[in-house]
Amino acid sequence: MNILSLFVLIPVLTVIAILFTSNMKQTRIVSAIGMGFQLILAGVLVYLYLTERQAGNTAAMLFYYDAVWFPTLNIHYTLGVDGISVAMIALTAVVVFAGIFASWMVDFLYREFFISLILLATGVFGFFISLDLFTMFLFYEVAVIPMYLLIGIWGSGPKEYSAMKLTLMLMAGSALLFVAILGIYFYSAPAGSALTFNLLEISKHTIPIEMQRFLFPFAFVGFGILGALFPFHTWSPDGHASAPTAVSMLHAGVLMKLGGYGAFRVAIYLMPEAAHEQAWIFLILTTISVVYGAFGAIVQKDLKYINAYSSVSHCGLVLFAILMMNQTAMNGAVIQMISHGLMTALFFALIGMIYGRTHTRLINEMGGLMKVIPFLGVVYVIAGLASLGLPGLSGFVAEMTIFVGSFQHTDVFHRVCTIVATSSIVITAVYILRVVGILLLGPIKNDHYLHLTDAVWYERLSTLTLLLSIAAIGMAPLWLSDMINFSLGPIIEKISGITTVAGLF
Amino acid sequence: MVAAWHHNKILFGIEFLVAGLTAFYMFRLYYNIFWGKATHYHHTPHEAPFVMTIPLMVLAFGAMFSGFLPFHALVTSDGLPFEAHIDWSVAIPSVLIGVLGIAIATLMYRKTTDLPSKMANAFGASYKWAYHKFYMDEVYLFVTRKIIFAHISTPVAWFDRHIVDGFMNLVARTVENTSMSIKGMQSGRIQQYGYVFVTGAIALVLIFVYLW
Repeated sequence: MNILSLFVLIPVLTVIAILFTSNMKQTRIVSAIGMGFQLILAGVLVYLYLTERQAGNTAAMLFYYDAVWFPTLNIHYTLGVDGISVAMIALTAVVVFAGIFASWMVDFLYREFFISLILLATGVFGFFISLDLFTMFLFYEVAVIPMYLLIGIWGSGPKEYSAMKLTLMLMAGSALLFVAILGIYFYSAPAGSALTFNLLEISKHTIPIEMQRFLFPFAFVGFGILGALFPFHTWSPDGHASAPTAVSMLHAGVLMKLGGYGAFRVAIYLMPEAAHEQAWIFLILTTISVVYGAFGAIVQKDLKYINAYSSVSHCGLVLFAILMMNQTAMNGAVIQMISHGLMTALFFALIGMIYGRTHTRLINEMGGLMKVIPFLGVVYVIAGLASLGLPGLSGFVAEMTIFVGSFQHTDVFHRVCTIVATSSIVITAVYILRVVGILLLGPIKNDHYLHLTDAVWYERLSTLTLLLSIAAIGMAPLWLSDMINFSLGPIIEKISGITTVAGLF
Repeated sequence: MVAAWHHNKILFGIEFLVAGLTAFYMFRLYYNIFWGKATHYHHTPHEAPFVMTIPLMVLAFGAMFSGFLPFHALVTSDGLPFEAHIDWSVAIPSVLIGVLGIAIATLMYRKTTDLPSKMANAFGASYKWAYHKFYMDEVYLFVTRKIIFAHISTPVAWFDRHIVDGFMNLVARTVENTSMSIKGMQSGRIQQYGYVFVTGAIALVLIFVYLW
């Protein structure tokens, strides 16, 4: 059996196994074993991938597998990964694993909770391993639907409103996406030959430029909504604030990355001419996202809102870098997806743990927590430092690469966008340090907090998994960026090879 | 200071003055901390433990003897050692101004007098400026609190909640209101369907007969 199919099979088997559990303890142990196995499998995949490349396999996609499942429309179950998808799969495995332990104490309808959570993960894994547009889209929908239930049932605050808002906006995004995918399908092959959904097949053929002009915005905005593109980001603060901890982690950590990944793999890769023509519009929007999200985060009072706006800013940076369409910036975009995925998941995990103790998420009501819960406090500070781009942690590697890549464009427009986006680093420092100052330092504002207990083993396991990954990328980024770079090569060649044509045009 | 003397006399003048000021403020600290009347403390002062005094000794040793390191041979702009000698015309006045600084500090702080407050009054505004670190912290706070927090971030956050998100909510509410207002059409009442059907049929007949 193809190793990639296991990434879908294991979660499905875990879900089935959960159905047979009879109490909370069994449910969470089964989930933890399933997702622990998935994490190991991700490690094995990274290893196999690297050895295969070392052995000199230069195929664009490794572990390729192809089977038809709906011949009428030529829909296939096509699998294959390159360095970028391998990195995303590893990220997902880490975040899901940490997410299981962050929701260790969910006791309301626990079986249904873990089933929905793992189904969501199945969708995400399926998305990253698919090379068939239709199958990819299908997995994307599999990931979005459990989200509605997870927020609507296990959420907090105005959860029905938030769940509805999030789902409707993402569904609007997938409607746009569906138009784009169908459009691509109908122009996927030269006249006379069979139409296909296969990404690799389509990329060999140039979609007529008139169609590209029409379809590119659908594809880019469709994925962009998921990647919190301004002004379609407003589902993010409400959705994250109402979602239970593990769902916020998975949503900000992984699901939002589907947006960046898709925008790059589908929108730009398949329609490079239109991407070159229209990039400026979206560059303006993403530049706004980056700065706007950061400014928005400064004055929020709710920890989750702060992190949600911060995600708007950081995910904006992913789309921003993708639109720069050169090797360095795109490499940075992928590292930023991984880096942001890990640290935002860590933030949401910590916020959940802090909320579980203080029963408030409003920073003004807390203070001096470093004295009573030093473990969580220190991890929060480190996550914050990663977020503001301190060297030695993953955020620095990502942002540095992005800005160096963006600055390689010598024209005024790209330079101005880059400079404006770079200013977000300073603003990020303001909102991160503001929270650290108010939340963790200073006097303890409530006597009740004096008796709080620090993190227990499953919380430590959850946060340390994420923290170690962040530090690992920060300390040794080269194996990751080499892995990404190798796969970016042919993609950039296709994109930039067309630049000259578009330039003449 | 020798280099400054050869290149820019104004720079030399500033450095010369600062050398005196340094001697003055160091001895002000020294007299204030270690001389004068014993104060009663909340915690009685005691000698520091070895973990603190040993590093201090190492640092003091370095501070005293690092001048003997041949820096002119080790650190140069072009990698080649250069000739260095004592320039007495700079060295002597520098030492003198240092001594002058110490002397003034001794005069003012060795015994408790009203000289310092008199001096503070004499300098008036410039004393106040210096005392408040030239209000740099206030400037920074003003920029972050009053400008960034109050006039950029707060409006951005408001704009996001009310305009951007408000628009999204408006779209949703419009859809909802439209559904509400037309849902009566699907009432399930046969009489109503029949009424609409017959009215429509009559209207079509009238249109075909009279307007076609």
